[in-house]
Amino acid sequence: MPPAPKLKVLFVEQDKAKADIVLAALDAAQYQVSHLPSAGVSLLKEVDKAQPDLIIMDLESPSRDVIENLNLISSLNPKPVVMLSEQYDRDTISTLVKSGVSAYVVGDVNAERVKSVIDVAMARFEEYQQLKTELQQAKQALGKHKALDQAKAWLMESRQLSEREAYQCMRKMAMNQGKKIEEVASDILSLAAALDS
Amino acid sequence: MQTAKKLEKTELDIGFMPLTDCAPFVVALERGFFQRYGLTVRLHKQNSWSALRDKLYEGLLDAAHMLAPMPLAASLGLDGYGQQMISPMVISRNGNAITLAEDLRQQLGQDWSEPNGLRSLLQDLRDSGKRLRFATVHPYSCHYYQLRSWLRRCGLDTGQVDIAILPPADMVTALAEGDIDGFCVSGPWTARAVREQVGVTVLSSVDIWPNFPDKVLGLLQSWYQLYPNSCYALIAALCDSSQWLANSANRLEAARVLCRPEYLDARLEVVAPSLLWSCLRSADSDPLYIPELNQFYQHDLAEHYSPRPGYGEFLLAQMAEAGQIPRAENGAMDFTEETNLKKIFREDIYWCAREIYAPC
Repeated sequence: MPPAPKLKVLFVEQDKAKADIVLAALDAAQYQVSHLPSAGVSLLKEVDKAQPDLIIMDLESPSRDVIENLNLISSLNPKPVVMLSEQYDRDTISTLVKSGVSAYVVGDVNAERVKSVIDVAMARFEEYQQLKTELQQAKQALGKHKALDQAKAWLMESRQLSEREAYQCMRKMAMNQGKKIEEVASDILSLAAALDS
Repeated sequence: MQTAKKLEKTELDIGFMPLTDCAPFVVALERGFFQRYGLTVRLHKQNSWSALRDKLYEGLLDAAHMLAPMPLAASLGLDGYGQQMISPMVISRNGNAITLAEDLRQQLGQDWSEPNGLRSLLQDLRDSGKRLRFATVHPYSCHYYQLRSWLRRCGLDTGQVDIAILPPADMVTALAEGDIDGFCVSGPWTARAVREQVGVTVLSSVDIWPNFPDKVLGLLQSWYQLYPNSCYALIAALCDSSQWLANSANRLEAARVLCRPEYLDARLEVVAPSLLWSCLRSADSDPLYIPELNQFYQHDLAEHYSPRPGYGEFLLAQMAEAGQIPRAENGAMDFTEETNLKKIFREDIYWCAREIYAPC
């Protein structure tokens, strides 16, 4: 059996002494680590180029906003993030988990600790992503139904159709035009908006 | 008539970002305005807006210098937490500017600051297939929405350009190295780009959304519930320091203090201009005198500090335009109805503070 591919880790840290400690704790047999001393554009380029599986950075890094944007806004390519903090204890930074930061290391950084935190981070991140996808799908489904219901209601009112007739009418239109019924519904709604205004 | 009551909490930790418009906080500390109202304040410089917000959530900070859309974004749960955050006071207006790379200015030629020339150059570049790249500081910031608004005004579809989020301190380097074509940031970073001759400032936020709040006082709703009287005292102190910042003599003093390492850690030549209403444009042209720049106070206008819910409505429209919140099928916004903007933009708290501390 071939060995599992190494996890690609992007580590952002300006301070060389701090960086060395973390780098030493990242087992080279398990992780393919790239270290970025500075952030800014180079961080965006590195994320784009290397497509890391995970990002490690300090809680106080100026690049926090860059990563948060990546994770919360662009939704293009969110990454799990492990946040380091020397200053705060575990309870104190626990809510960070909710903002897309998947886990954190506190104080002493050693190989064992780092591995377990990375494992937790990856697992949590997948969970979180799955939840997010499900939520999005549910919202979309809801949106579709909403349009369908509204279009149906409009047909019923304006053409004095029964609910069944309104639905059949839309289904027929969909078949004739080779469209999805949701698309027909939204066509009807834009027409309705134009006529009613 | 309300009167000042005993403060529930007298020692406050307040977060700020090292930008020119954190001046009211720094002045309140340095000139003793916090003390005047019975508050002992420690100011904590932050490296990112995200960390500043997280520390508010955690109670590590009591209140903070915040981007105006942040309390709204937080209350809508857009940042992933969904805690009720409020803004009881406007801190600053007219502090952002758009700066373009020196390279673009050369293509613009003599009349580089002329809006029509700029507009056609940007459109020509787009038509020639160049994907323009801009940067700003945070997705829930007026900077971001102003940049989008200006691009639309130039006839560019915001889908045709890239807008990256970068730390303010990396902006000037990114511009110098050609990684971006322009940025929208607060002072002192615009002045810095001009002083270092890597960019030219083509317009300030006064030209985009005049007098719209850039930064606000931000805190958790739950914090206010615990410490209402401390909150009123804090507002009164910040009103006093903003008023102190009304004239140029005091503003120069403020600039000097802001330059110190514990605050902006910057040179006077980049901090002072915008505070003295001077918008630097390029190394070889005269600065523009813009009396609304870095506005903290307006004479006899108590309303100036009031965080009106109408600002929230405007920001919601910007968020919808930027695709940050869904837009309903009929073009209306999904969030307006369910979001009680009065619970986020707390003008009631502000006016209550005014009533208690009448002369502030």
